[in-house]
Amino acid sequence: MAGPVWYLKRTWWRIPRPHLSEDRLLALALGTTDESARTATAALTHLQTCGRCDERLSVLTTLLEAMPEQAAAAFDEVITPQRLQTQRVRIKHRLAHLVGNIEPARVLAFPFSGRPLRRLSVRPGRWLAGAAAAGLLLGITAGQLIHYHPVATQAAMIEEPPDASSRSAIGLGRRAGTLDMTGTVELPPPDGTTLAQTSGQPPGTPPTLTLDEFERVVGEEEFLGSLDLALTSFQVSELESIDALTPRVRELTINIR
Amino acid sequence: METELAGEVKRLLAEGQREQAAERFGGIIDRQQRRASRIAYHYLRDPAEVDEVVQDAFLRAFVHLPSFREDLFFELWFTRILVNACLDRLKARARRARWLVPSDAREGLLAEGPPSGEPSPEAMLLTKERRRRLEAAIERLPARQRTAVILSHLEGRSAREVSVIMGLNESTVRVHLFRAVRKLRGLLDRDTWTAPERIASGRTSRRGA
Repeated sequence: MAGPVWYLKRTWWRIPRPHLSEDRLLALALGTTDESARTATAALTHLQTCGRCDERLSVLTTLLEAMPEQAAAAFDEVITPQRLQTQRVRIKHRLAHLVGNIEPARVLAFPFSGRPLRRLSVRPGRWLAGAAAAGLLLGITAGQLIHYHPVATQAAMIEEPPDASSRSAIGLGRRAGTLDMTGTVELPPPDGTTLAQTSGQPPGTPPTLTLDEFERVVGEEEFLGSLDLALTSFQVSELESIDALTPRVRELTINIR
Repeated sequence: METELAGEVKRLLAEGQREQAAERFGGIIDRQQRRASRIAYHYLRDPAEVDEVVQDAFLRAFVHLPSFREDLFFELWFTRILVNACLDRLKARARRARWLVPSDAREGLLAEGPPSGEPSPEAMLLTKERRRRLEAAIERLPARQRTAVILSHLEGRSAREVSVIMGLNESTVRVHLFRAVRKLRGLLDRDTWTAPERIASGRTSRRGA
């Protein structure tokens, strides 16, 4: 009986066993293993007998040992002693500021001026509201002035025909067809005479039209304008969307004074 | 030693002697600055940011020194402040990276480094490449694993100290460290990262042992 037991004890270590896993080796190398003493002993025994696992552990240990050295070398290369010295000085300087040993630096005024800039007593929010209100008021006033005094703001003049015969043929006066910025059209009398003459008004007073005269003149003008437009313009299907957004001549509102 | 100094600074602050307190705190700065810069560098890898973070961490420690418990080690308390500052800065950097085109300012700086001790340009290049890979691999670790590997493995802190700094259980720190190194091992190609002569010497030394 003692023979087989003795034989097993002698040959036990020669029985091939599976190699240690990578995690087991890593735990051994790091010393973070929580294994029981028996398991750890078994692993160490295996390492003594298995050259391959021992070599793997050696490589792993070497790698782990090299890691801090590599990291330290990288640090020494980038963070030089001079840099550390500068950093130390800065820290102590900031610390002195913190405890009040050093007075805070003077803040320069920008833009620079010899005298300190006078502070405005009004808050910025009120300035903004005041400026917006003033702008609105100015805009309304300017709009009203342009509307009530179109003659003074005539920006566009319809070119008069080159010869007087053509002008008389369509019955337009010299300053007929003037257009101001608001789109107001000053129409001539239909028969070639000035409206002031037909209505008996003194020259210089704005001409007036009766409703029938207006319809006749506008009808002729609209017809000629449409004809002109049809002859000179053409529709491009790709530009329909733009045409829809663009005001057309015949749709402009004509105000008669 | 730093803990005693910190206690003294705390007392001076309590007495209102701020100037003396700042002066004494300078001694702590002298002792801790290099280590703090090294830790910050492992996280940030940008010298300018390292400067800012270390400065801020020291000032923050000084300001909050009245709340420092003297039964703790000042070094661990300060390291915790520093690590939190580094992690905050990494978060801010990630936020910025979403909006800005990344530019590695360190590339030029590394290229300009003094290669005085290296035997040849090839060896220098290989060494830099290995360092770059190590840094890149550490950067790819999750925050806790990174902290565990930097403090424990690169800075040589014990698991207990790291657990105090991280505010975690000691066994949890071990697990983080284990996972971190396992991941690093996967990320790093040992044949190109570890110098062949080191492996050879490691093998012979172990064989000899």
